[in-house]
Amino acid sequence: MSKRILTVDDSASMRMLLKASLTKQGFAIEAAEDGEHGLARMHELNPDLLITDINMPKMDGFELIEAVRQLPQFRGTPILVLSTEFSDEKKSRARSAGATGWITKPFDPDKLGAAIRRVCP
Amino acid sequence: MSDDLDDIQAIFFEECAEGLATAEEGLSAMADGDASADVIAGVFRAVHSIKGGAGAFGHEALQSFSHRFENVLDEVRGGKIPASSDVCRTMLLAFDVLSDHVAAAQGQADIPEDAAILAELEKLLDDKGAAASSAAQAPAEAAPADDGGTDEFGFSPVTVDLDDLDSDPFGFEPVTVAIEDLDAPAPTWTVRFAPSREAMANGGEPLLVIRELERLGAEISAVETDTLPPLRDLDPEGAYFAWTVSVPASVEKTVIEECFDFVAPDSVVEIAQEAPAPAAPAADDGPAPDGPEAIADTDAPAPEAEAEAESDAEAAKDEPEAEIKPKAVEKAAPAEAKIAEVVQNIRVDVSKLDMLLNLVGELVIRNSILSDRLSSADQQRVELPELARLTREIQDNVMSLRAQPIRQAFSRVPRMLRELCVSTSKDVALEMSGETTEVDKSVIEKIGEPLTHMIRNAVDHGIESAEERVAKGKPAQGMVHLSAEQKGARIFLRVADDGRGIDRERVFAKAVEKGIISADATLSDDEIDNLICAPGFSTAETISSISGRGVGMDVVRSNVEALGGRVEISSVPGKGTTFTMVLPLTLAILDGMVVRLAGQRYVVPLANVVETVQPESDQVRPVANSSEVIDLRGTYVPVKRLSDLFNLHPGARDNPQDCVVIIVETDAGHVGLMVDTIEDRREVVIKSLDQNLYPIRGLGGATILGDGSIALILDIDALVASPSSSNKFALKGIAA
Repeated sequence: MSKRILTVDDSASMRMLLKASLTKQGFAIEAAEDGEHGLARMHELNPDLLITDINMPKMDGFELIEAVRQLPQFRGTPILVLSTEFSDEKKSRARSAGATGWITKPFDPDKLGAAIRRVCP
Repeated sequence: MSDDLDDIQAIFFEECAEGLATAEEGLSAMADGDASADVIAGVFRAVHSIKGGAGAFGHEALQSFSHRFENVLDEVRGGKIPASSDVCRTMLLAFDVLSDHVAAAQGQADIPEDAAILAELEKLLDDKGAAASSAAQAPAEAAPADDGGTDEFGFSPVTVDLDDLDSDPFGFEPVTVAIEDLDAPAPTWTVRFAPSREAMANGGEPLLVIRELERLGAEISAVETDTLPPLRDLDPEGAYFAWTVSVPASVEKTVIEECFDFVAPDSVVEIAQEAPAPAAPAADDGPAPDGPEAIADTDAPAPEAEAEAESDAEAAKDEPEAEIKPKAVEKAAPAEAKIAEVVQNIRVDVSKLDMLLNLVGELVIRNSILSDRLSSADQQRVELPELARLTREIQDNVMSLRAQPIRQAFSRVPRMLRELCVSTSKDVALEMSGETTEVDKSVIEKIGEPLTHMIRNAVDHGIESAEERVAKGKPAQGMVHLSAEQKGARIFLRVADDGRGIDRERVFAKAVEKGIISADATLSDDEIDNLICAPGFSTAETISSISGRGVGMDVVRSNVEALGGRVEISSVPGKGTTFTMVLPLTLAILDGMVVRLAGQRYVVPLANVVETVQPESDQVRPVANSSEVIDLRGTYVPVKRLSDLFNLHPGARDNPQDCVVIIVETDAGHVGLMVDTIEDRREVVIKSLDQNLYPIRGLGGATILGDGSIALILDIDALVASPSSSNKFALKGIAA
């Protein structure tokens, strides 16, 4: 069964781009448009991997990751951050929030696929 | 994919437009002194998203510019750069250039010249202090490093340059990577990987790294298990082993490094190249020598790191573990509650909405046909009123789908005004109100151009120069007020300036000169003001002292009238001029009264109807100038015969007592409209008229009635207003 991935990004084009490029690589992609929506979708979908943006309205990526990690069923779920930010400060904040890895936008679809396989057995 | 990509890119540009609107609104609010965290964060996010998408779609100039703009915004957000009025002004200018970059990315314009504004942005960063400026410059330098090849995920390497690679662009903190480049050709890589104790937290899985290395052809040469504690001390979620693997020489160093992208901080990764020394048995892909020996010289830092990691892990384990659990339980509940609150949006192609709207229109028509054909007994049955109610509800809902705040049409105005201020060297402030008024999308799309004209008029010719204003005792800064409000089924869009007003003498003289009116015409002030909208009034020759422009207000008027609206002008000399566009709320549906005249049926918009009167004898009386009035409980209301207005003699009834007078509300006050009979009251679906019917003033559209016949819809204001003023233009215009 293909891996189910929830992508959270407030930009519709980014969501579509992720969906288009990852579906081709055999992943099943679901999407949410901000942290709050993402958290709700986590409950609903119980995905194998969460990929989230950082800068989003309502609930940002850091808050989403923290909230997800607080839930026992998601303690071991890999979480990748996909953001245009790349400062070490942001990265370590994401790490302490509970992120597994960080990918900087813009992304190369193949390399993103490889990165996913790196955290998602 | 390329088609997909085009589609997605089209959506990206829509987002850009939305983002720009948000950013502009936020920046304007900041310029007005509202620098709240939410506002700044909104602007930052908008620019940030544009940058992200620009990178994904390969718009490098846009990406690079938005990146630098974002740096400044980030500092403003962090409070390091104050949101002073100077800073806001610079950011608004940067915003304008950003808009141009977006247009350029869409292929609608050339890539703008941005060096000057970039320098200003850099200056803001520099001014804020040396430490911060160096942080800001680093990314700026990264952008030109566009030679490709080294960037990991991106199409253009804002994020990564060669030096960055060592410190692992994706990981959180630099892991220890020891690289020894030896001159010897193609030796095998020896990689030692000692994950930190908490490597399995955060969903990490060190084993996956080993697996990935194995896929590259690596073989495990040693596993260090001596760090494994006795069972009672063992943390089931801790990582204890360390691996040494040998990777074929053919694998690129960077590829090996990538495998370690997501390893936890404090993990030890050592990548070394084995010289093919005679003593080394592992020169080929055979089993490597014993681990400890092979890594002997790079082993030193490892125990330290491990020890640190261990103590950290130890400290972290006991307490947080205990703390996290109750929190998890607490947090779970609000998180579930949030599910219900999430508002979900779906993007729908407008053409699908249009199709739906059309279908609903047809449904409404069929509904009335059905009820027309049924006997009145059948009509009373429960299902029919219910069906009619449902249809109307569907209709209302579909209409609301298309309704959008008029803010979208307003969004271009601030920038335009800023540019006009520069080009005319005037200082004009803009005030907007009623931006949230909702209007049908089709209306919003079409008012952009007329609005632009009206604003230009106001700034170009309405507002005086600062000196002139001061001399007149006005504030030096001019003011343009843009407002929207809904009244009944109409939207009133006003552009009011506090300038010099219309110079009526000059307008009159010019209209005579142009042959629009005769020199002996007697016109009211309003009629003179309206002359500037008369076809042929404004030509290439500009009269600078009035709000007229080469392009012509007549274009504005014809555009607005094509929408079923009209333009009104009111002006007070020395105080200012107000242009009002009166537009229909929707272009689709109208509540109307069906009337009959000379065998034809017409629809009077119900919004205009005040009351209807069946005149008694003598209630309608002639007055001078062959006009008539109706005595309405003691007040006299002018009466217009629809048959006169449309010149439908013979055929219409002549005797007022055989007719019905509909009292309609117009801009000129109440007017009685005389028709033969009233037939019905119903909602009609507005169908637009063919272009060659536009010149007939007083027609707002047409509709199909329940029996399938066609009726013309009246535009009452235009109808009642036209004979006095516009007929004069028309008649004289034709004669000239």
